[in-house]
Formats: sequence, structure tokens, C-alpha cells
Amino acid sequence: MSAPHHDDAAAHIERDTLATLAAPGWRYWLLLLVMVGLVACGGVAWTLMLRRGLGLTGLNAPVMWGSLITSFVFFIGISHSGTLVSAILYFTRSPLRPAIGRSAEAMTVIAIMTAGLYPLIHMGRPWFAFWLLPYPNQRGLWPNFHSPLVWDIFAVCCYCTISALFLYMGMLPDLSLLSPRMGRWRRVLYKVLSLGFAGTDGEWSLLEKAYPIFAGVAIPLAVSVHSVVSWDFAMTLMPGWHSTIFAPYFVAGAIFSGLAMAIVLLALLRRTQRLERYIRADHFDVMAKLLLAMSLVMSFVYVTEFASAVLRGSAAERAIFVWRATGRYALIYWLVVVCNCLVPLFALSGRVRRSLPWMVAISVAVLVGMWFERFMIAVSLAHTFDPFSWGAYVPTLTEVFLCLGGFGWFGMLFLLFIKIFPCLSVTETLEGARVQAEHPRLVPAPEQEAAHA
Amino acid sequence: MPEDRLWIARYDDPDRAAAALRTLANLHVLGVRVVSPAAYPAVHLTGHPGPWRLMGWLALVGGLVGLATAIALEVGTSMALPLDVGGKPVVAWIPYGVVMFELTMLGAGATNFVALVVLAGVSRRRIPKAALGTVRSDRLTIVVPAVGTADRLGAIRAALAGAIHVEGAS
Repeated sequence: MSAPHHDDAAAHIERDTLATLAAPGWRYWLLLLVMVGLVACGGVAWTLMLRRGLGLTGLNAPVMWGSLITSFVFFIGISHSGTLVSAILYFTRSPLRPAIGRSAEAMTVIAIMTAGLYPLIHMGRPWFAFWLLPYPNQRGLWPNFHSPLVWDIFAVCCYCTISALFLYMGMLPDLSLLSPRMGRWRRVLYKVLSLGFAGTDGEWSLLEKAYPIFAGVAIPLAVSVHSVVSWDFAMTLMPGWHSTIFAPYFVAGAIFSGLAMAIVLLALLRRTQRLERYIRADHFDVMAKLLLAMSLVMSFVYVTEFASAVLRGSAAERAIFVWRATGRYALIYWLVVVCNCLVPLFALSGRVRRSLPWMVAISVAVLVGMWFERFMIAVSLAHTFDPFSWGAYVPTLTEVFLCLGGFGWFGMLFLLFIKIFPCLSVTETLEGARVQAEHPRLVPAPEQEAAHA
Repeated sequence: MPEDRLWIARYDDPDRAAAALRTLANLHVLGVRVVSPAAYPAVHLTGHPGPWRLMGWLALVGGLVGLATAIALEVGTSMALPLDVGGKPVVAWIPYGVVMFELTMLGAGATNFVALVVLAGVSRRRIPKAALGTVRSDRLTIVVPAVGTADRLGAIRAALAGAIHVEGAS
């Protein structure tokens, strides 16, 4: 490796990363304004709900879980992929990681923060949320550790903490590296957050030892968190919910929706931050293949779930699956099938996989499909054992605004993150550039990749 | 004028730094340190006996503390408020498994992070401030103790020949 080549690569990487932190253009501001607007809508809806109660929602007996819990499960699913994919890419030493790892990890943390809002909103009286925490109190009451809802709190909180630390740990060298090149307030912020990291041999060795331990902790936690969320449903005796397939089904669905969201966010980053050199078409190609594989897994799960209920299930179980496909919410059911099982099949074409607009369109369809899939599961409460108690659920405008507010909150935090912190891992990209210089066949240079495309 | 006790050599090429480190290792120079903006292979050539060997053990201890906390919390609270649901046991290990797993992982992860921060602070000691700014540049810095006879110092200085700049520090 020649010194000038290394210097060129390092200069490029630093320049491009610093450019992502520069003053944003009007498209960014417009997008941020839209997100803030959605947050404001959600805020108004929640304020109204706090004043007038849960009656403003469409929740009723028997459908006591509606769009709010749907959004909770959806955002937990979105959070699933980031840390999990980043940790797996780390262990496999994938050249994809420097490009997508940071944004995926940030997506995880922001998605959990968004997901956490929904149970609080759904509670109706969020100021009593602390009752769920185990602490000595005058009431002499403790949370019931046999309940999946309590497991859920622990799983989500632990996953949030570990994901945030995983993201932060990976950013330490970059914060230290970039701090002197920043403006006033960011220089101070980066210096404080870098915790004095100086790049000594001891620190790098510690980081290289600590990082795989963290990745090793994050992977089982990621799998556990969505399994636990699925048990919120599966531990009940409701037909359509009480199934052993729920945990792997939810985990697969979470990876599926998380990948779709990662594709949308990376496409956004690539376009708005001018990161074409780093987030390349071959990265989208790999993620599209993963998305396709997960779509096939989901299709298999849908067929298995349906077949085992209809062929071997109880009368109530059979009834609910037939009702999903033919009843009041049949349109949603078939929308889910089209979005999650059929639309991703377009990614069988190599041209589609390498086309950004196509992949964004497919990913948006998958996100829509996955949100409605969670919705379909929640509204199954409308058709349980006793025909006398069958009912219906339609989200009210308040719930629609709360849902949109959640998406706005997620988008707003992500947009702020990419302007406050480096969305590329500078040190890992530097290492990638070194590997590329030493083994040009192993990692294609952007020029080679463009020629190939 | 005080005699230099350390030499700080800056490199713009990780390969040259690695070559210098190999030469220093052949000369059996002890206490060589490297400061760099990325984890180049040169970083690992110093053989510095750092505290990172402890990391796995500390994470294990953290995990065990998390597990013990979960058991204490679950058994303690169940005994403090015995909820008899359909005659099922008040202390039931299978449902406790989830929170035990979560807190074990949290304990391991959090301890790992705290250990990283504390031990990184320890590993920064004995490196001159002039060398610590390296992470903010594109250079690699090798810090070498300048101790020994004139011949040996000459050999060490020659080993640093590929550096773009060498300065002394006391």
C-alpha cells in the first residue's frame, strides 16, 4: 500500500463524512418540517386523549388492543434489524458494515424509543407507568414476574440500553477523530462524548476485545426481545394468538420489516448526504437478497400458520383464520399477502435489486404490509371464541394521528441524528479503504462497482 | 537542557510504522506504544501487555451479577406478594427465565462498557500529551523510550528512519 493512496482515501472519507455534518439543504429542512408537523399532529392527539380519555380511540370490548399496540409491535420490529444486522456483519467481517452499520444501529435505538411511546399512550394514564417497575412502595404491590407484559418491559428496556451502548461504543473513535474539525458546540459535545479516547494501542485493543462481547450480547437480546413481544399475544388463550410459532414468526417479521426500513433510510442517506461512494448499489443488492429471503420465510410462516389452523386446529382457531381471509378485514389480509409475499418477488430481478427507486418502492410496500399484518393480529380479538362477543374495531382519527405522530417522531430523530453525529463510521471506513488498497479484488472500488453496474 | 526520555515518531504510512515496530521488536526495545486514528495492524505489533485480557472475565462477572439480581428480584418480590393464581406455584422458575436472561445480558453488556471506559483511561497513562493528539490527525505515532547506550540509541533512531517527523520528549 502506498502512502499517497492511503492519504487520498483518508482525506476522501473525512471530507465526505464532514460534508454530511455540514449545514443541510432545503430538502432536508423540508423533510424535517414534515416530520415535525407529524409529531405536532400526534402531540395534539395525545393531549386531547389525556384530557378526554381512551374513549377517543376506537378500542372497545372485545378489541382492547388496536392501532397503538400495532404501532408498538411494528416499531419494535423495525428496531430488530439494526443492531442484529450490524452485529452479524461485524462477526462476518463484511465490507457492508462500515456503510450501513451506524445508520442501522441508530435506526434501532430510535425505533425502540418510538415503540416505547405507544404502551405509555395506550395506558391512558401514562403518569402511572412507573407502577410497572419493581420498587419498594407503600402499596405493598410488586409486578407479577409471571406475566409476559412484565417480561416485555425488561426485554425492551435491556435491548434499548444495550443497543444504545453498542451504537455509542462504535462512535467513540469517530467522535474523538472529528472533534477538532467541528464547529464550537459540536466540538465540545464530541469531546465530552468521546470520553478521552486517544487512539492508543491499549484503547484499540480494548475496543476490539469489548466490541465482539457487546455484539455477542446484542444478538441473543435482539432475538429475545421480539420473542418476548410475541409472547404478549401467544401466552393468552385467544385463537389465532395462542401458538408456538409466534416467537420465530415475530422474529422473522421483525427482521423483514427492519431490513425494509433500513433500505429506505439508506436510500435517503445516500441521496441527501451524497454518500454514493460508500452506500453503493451492490450494498442494496445484498440487502434486497436478504429482503427476498425473509419474504420467502414470511410466506412459509403464513402458509404454515394457516394450514396448521385449518387442518389441525380447533373450531375457533379454524374460524379465525377463515375469517381473516374472508371476513370484515379480508382486504387487509390480502393487502398483507400482496405486500409481504408477492411484491418482494420483484427483487428476483438483478436490475430491480440494483435500482434504488424500485428497492425503495418494494421496501415501502413491505413496511405497509408489516404494519397491517400486526394490525390484523391485534384485531383478531374481534372474532374470538364466543360469537355473542364478536365485534369490530376501526381506528379513530385520534389513533391515526397518533400513528402518524410516531412515524414523524421516528423520522425527526433520525434526521437529527444524521446531522448531529457522523452517519458513517470513519475509522471502519478507513480500515475498509486499507483492505481495499491491499486486496482490490476483495472489496470493489466505487469506480469498479460503477463500471460493473 | 533535559535529556529526552522518549522519542515520538510520526508516520503517514501504516506500513512504514509497522516496519519500524518490527525493527524495534528485533532490537528488544520494551515499552513501545502506538497511537493511531484507526486500528491498523501496526497497533497490534507493540505487544503491549494491556488490561484487555480482563474484558471477557469482567463481562462474565457482570452477567453473573445481573443473573443474581434477577433471581433476587423475582423470588424476593414473589415471596413479598404471593399471588396464588389457580394454585400455580408462587415461585416458578420457567417464567422467571426471561427476566433472568435479560438482566444477565444487561449486566454483561453494561459491565463490558464500564470496563472499556475505565481500562481505556488506564491505558492512556504514560503516553505524552504530544502523542495523544494523533487520533485527530491522519498520522500514526510511535512512542519509544530513549534509554540505553549511545549505540543502542543510534539503532533505535535508525529504526525510526521512515518517520516523517521525530521529536523528543522528557
